[in-house]
Amino acid sequence: MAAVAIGAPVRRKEDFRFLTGKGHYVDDLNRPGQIHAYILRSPHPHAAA
Amino acid sequence: MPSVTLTVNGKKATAEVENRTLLVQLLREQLGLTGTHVGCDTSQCGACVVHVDGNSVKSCTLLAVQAEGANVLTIEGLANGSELHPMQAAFREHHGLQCGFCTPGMVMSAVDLAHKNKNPTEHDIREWLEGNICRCTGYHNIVKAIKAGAEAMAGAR
Repeated sequence: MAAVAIGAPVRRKEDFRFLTGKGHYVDDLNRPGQIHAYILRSPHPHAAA
Repeated sequence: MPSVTLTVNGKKATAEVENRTLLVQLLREQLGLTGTHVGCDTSQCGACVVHVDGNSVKSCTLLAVQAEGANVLTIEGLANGSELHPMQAAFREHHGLQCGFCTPGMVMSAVDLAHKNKNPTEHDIREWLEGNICRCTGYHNIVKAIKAGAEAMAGAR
């Protein structure tokens, strides 16, 4: 009889890389000549520049 | 620019750094060890925890030049090839992670706790985790994982 999958705990595939520091997050990107952006929002809801 | 020489995960590394360069910047940006994360930049979240001469340290709170001559262990140096360290294996087994961002810091911090306290209680673990923030799951499974991981580490000795 096939194993019952419903309700069975499933080991996550992604955990190994997260646990060994091999996950890839946006902040980990480091390309040659990479530039960084920062969004500076206006403190004024409606104003003439 | 000052030069700093240290041992990282068993390998000697020398780098030119600025006086203000933080240890985590040296690890991530110059040595390419991006497993150590910066979650807050204000020394609260603990995602950047590494071991410096055997003690867990927030690497965003230490200047790179302060680590001169030190022995640094990061999350990348914990497993033995494809064989997870008992603490890493316990996190996997007990679902102690979700997005994984806080995990390197949690695991490094937990390993230091287990070195200092062979049989930590739930209270000991929760108190120790004061400096590590998880925003996914809450701490229930992390605490369970650390208890099991500490037991496995004590058993392995």
